[in-house]
Amino acid sequence: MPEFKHQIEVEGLSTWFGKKKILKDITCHFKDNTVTAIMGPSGCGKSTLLRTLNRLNDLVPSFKRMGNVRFRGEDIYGVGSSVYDLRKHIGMVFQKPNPFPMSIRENITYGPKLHGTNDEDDLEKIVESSLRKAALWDEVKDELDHPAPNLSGGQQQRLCIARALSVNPPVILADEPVSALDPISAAKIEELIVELKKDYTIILVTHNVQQAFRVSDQSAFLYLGELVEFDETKRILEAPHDERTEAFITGRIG
Amino acid sequence: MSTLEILLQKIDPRPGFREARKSRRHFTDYVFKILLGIVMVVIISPFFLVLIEVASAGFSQVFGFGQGQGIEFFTTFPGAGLLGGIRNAFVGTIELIAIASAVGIPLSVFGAVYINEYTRPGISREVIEFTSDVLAGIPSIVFGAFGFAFLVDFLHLGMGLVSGSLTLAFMMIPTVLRTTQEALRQVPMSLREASLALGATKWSTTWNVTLRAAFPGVITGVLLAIGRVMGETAPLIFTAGNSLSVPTELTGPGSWVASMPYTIWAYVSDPRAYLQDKAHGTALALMMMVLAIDLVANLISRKVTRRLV
Repeated sequence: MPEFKHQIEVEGLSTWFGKKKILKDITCHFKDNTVTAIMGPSGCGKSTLLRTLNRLNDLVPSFKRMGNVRFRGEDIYGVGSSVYDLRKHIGMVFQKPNPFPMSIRENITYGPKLHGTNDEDDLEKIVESSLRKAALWDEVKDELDHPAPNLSGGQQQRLCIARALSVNPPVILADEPVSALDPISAAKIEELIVELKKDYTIILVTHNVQQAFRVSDQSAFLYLGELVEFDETKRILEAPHDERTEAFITGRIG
Repeated sequence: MSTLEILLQKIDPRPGFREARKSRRHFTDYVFKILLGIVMVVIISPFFLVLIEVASAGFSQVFGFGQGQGIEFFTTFPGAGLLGGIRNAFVGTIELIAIASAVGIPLSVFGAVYINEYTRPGISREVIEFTSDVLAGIPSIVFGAFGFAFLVDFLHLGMGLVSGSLTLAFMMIPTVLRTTQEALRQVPMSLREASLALGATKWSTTWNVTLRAAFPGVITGVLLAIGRVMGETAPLIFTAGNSLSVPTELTGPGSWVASMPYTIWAYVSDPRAYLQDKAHGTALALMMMVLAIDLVANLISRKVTRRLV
C-alpha cells in the first residue's frame, strides 16, 4: 500500500473533449471526513473534474487527459488499476434522481450483489443500514418491495444516496444533488450530506454559493477550467483573493 | 336557468347540441366534432366488417359440434376430402412461429443491444439502421423468394419446417431490431451511469438495468413482429411446403409443414363450398390466436412495467 495523505489527490490535471480543453492544470486534494465543494459558473468544468475522479468520463470517446489522479496514493489511470474496484470505492450521486426501474430493495442490493455479496441476511442488513444512513428507512421500511420510481423526487434522491452507500465507499461524489429538487427536499439532502461527512469524504459540485457555505468545509472555485482558488470555504467566501471569485460570490458572474 | 332550459337539458343532455345554436363559432366547433366522429366510424368499420364476414362463415367451424368442428377443428387432421379439422395447420403455425421467434427475437434484441450500446454513432450504424428500415418495408413475397433461393436452394436445406421458420425469422428481425433500438434509446443515460458508478461492468449494466428498463418497448416490438409473421402466406409458399399431417423429420419431405395462412389461401382457392367455410374458420382461429398472444404479452408487459414504474 503506497503512503498517502489524502483520499484523493489531483496533480497537474488537464482534460480535453476532442480538441476542446476543459480543465487546465488542476492541482488539489480532498481531505478525509470533509465536504469539499467544487463551485463555479456553468460550463467551467466542475462536473468534468468530478467525473474524472471516478473515470466516468472514460465513457466519452473523445475524452483525453494529462496529469495524475491518485486515490489512496495509487494512480487511478495507471496500468494495473481496475476501474470497477475504483468505482466501488468512490460512490456517486447524480443531479437528477435516477433510481433503477426496480423495487426499493433491489436498488440497494444491486451494488453489493455486483461485488459478490449474495447472503440474504447480509443483504438485508445492508438495505437497512444504507436506508438509515440516507434518512429514508422510516419512510419506506414497510414498502421495500414497491417500485422505486413511485417515490417522490426527494425520496428518490435519498434512495440514490443509499444506493451509493450500499457498497460502503470511503468517498462520495455528488453532482449538484439537490438542483432538481424542491426546497424542502433539498434542505433534507443538505442536512444529510453534513451528517454523512462524519464517515465519508464528500465532494460536492454546486453552482450555489449559499449551499457551498452551508454544507462545505473546503472549496475549490473553478473558472473556465482553471482552479482559481482552493481553500477553506469560509476564507474564500469571506475574503476572496481573486477578483473572479469575488465576482462569482457576489453574483456578477454565474 | 329557466324552466325551458331545464326541460331542454332533460330532452337532450349533450351540451354540444345546445351550444351549437348559440353562435357561428359554436356551430363550427360542433360540426368538426361530428365530422371526426364520422371519420372514426369509417376507420374502424372495415375491422368489424372483416370480423363479421369471417365469423359468419367460420363461427360454426370453430365453435360448432359437427364432424371436424369445435374442438375437432383443431385436433383432427383434414383426412379424406379435407372433411376433417386443421390440426396440421394449427400445429404447423405454432411450430413455425415458435422456431422463428426462438431464432429471430434473441438475434434482433442482442443485435440492437450491440448497435446501440457497444458501437459509436457513425456510418456503420447508419447503414445497419437504414438497411433494416428498408427490410421492414419489403413485401413478404420477396422474403419468400430469398428464403427459397438462399435456404432451400443454396444451403440445400430443402423445403420444410427449418427453411420456413428461418424465413419468418428473417422477416421478424427488422421490426424487433428497430423497436428494441428505439426502446434502448429511451433509457436515460444517467441510469447506465448510475450502474457503472457502482462498479458494474458494461454487460451487467446492459443486462440488469438498460434492457430491463427497455423491456416494455421490446415486448411491443416482439408482438408486432409475431402478429405480422403469423399471418404471412407468401414467405411460406416456397419454403415450408405443405402437409396434411405434422412434420415428423427435420429435413426432407417429412419436414414439410402446413400453416394456417397457407391453408386459408389453399382452401379459399378450392371450388368445394365446404372448404370456404373451413377457410373462414381457420381465419377466425388465426385472429383469435393473434389476439390471445397480444393479451398475454400485454399482461406480461404490464406486470413488468408495474415493477418498473
